[in-house]
Amino acid sequence: MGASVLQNLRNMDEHHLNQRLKNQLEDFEAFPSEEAWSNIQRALKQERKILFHERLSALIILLFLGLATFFVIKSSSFRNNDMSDKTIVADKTEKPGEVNDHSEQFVPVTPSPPRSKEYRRSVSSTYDKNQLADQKEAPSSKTANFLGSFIPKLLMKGPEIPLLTPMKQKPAMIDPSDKPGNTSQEADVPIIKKRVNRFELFAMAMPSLFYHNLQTNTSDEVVISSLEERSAISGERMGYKTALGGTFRYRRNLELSAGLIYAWADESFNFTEKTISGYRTTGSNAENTTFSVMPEFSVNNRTVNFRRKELGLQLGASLLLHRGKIFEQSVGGNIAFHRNLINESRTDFNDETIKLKSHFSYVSVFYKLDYRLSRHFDLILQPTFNYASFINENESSPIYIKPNNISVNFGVAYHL
Amino acid sequence: MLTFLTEHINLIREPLSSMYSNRELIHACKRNNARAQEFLYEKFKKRLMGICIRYTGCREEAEDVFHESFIKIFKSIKNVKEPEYLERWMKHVTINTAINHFRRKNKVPLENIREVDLESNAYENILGEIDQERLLAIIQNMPEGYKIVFQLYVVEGFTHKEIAKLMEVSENTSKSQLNRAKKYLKKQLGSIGITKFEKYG
Repeated sequence: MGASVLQNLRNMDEHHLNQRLKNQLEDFEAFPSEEAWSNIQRALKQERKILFHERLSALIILLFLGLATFFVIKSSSFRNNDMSDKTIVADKTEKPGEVNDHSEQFVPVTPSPPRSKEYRRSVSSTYDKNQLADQKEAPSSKTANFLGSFIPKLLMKGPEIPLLTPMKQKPAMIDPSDKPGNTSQEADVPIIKKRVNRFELFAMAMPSLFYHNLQTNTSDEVVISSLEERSAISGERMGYKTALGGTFRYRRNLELSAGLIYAWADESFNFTEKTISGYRTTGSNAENTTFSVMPEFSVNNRTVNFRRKELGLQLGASLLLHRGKIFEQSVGGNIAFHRNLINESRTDFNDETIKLKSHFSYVSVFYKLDYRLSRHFDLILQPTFNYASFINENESSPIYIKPNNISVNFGVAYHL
Repeated sequence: MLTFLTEHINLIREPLSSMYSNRELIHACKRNNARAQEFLYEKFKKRLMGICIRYTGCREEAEDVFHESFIKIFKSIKNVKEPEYLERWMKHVTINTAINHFRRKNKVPLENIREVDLESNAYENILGEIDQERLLAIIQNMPEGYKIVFQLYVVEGFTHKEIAKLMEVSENTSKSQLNRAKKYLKKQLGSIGITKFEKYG
């Protein structure tokens, strides 16, 4: 009992002591140096300049990403120029029964690189040589681009900006749950603490949905009349990526990264081909001074499969747009150099596997939404525009993937 | 119309004075109004510099923290929703900046001491008369860890749990640092001849 009273007295003494010290120290004031304000002004101007450039960069990236998406979607609408509806009108100098080469009237909408000799051989062997005998060169196929019916709208509404919490509810001047450096007062809501290290290691696993821009080879005898449409969210679009790397926080909102990537994908595309099996000529008037040449087609359903496994080195930079309580939004870009462990296409024409390029590089720009699951784990959603160099052009597939595509990556990242 | 414009031009030209409320001041600072920023600076510079000096060891460091704090204040003033707490918020930013400065400077974490016998070191008595400057000098010369914990506990009124969270140390470390600060204070006061402590209660 006596000890308890003594303790209470000591506590009271300590309280008074603390109060006295507090009174003496709390109101202490001092003058800063004379040049302090001019230094602050200078720094503020510099900050504003940097902020302007950052915002401009972010705007350009977002705009570019938006435009790229728009154009990929736009070009994905399959232009089915059905050749059977086309009539070649011969001029009066041509005689009935004489067929001139009008293949230039089938100039492809999009230029495409020449195809390989292997493919030419494999295709030409399937045709009846007699049927094609009249042709000096078969009309080119039409460009067939395909993306999918739509890109899902990604409604990524940013979380609210951290606001000042009424002080009435918080007698302490500093909220202990508010990390040093975070000047907002948002501690009433549980906050998953943001990592503050400048250097970090990360591991990432990221399934991706690919929205490719496809193109047919145009210098062959095959006309691709339609491509199978796939839904926007489909397992057939899936590819996978894992990465190990490190990040360096260069500035508060600018992060540089480097990492090793292992990625793989296996995609098949079904299409309907039309091959010209011959021509039919018809007279158009009594004197037969003009006549029409109508191509005749045979129709086949085909499949081409692309399979790739790649190992790459990726360098990137990302600019933080907004850091919320649990969400973080950023934009950025990467450059990557990949070595293909496997990169091949297989068609059902002759079941032949064609090896594609062994190296390629790509640049990409992205928007990233991070959802903090815990101090170390993030969920990621990252729509990305990629432009790859030499992914598999000049190859003998009837269709090939154009270098530009959109991918929607989502996955989980672990930070150490 | 002309009168209306003239009034507004005058209003723009007129220097910000103390009659402007915190709300107006915040609003103007949000729009990067240079005069409003200067006014805010002039209004709070002494108090914030006081905090900086208390939390740092020397004037040079205090100037650095002061500079960084004001930059943060101007950058984040848009987050202030309740203007009546502007000063508290500014102090908050300054103290956070000082703690960050301490963390950057001191890579070695505060010593972790598991068991602390506060009882034996309780300083139930206190100095009788000491002026503010001398007390401040003693506190400024305290080792960094003690100094921050001591001020957070005594001046800002934090609990050990809160300090532990804020500084990312254990509660026991916070307690031991405070205890050492008190011992240090007592010793320093003794060295300047204050050995007779006045009892409060």
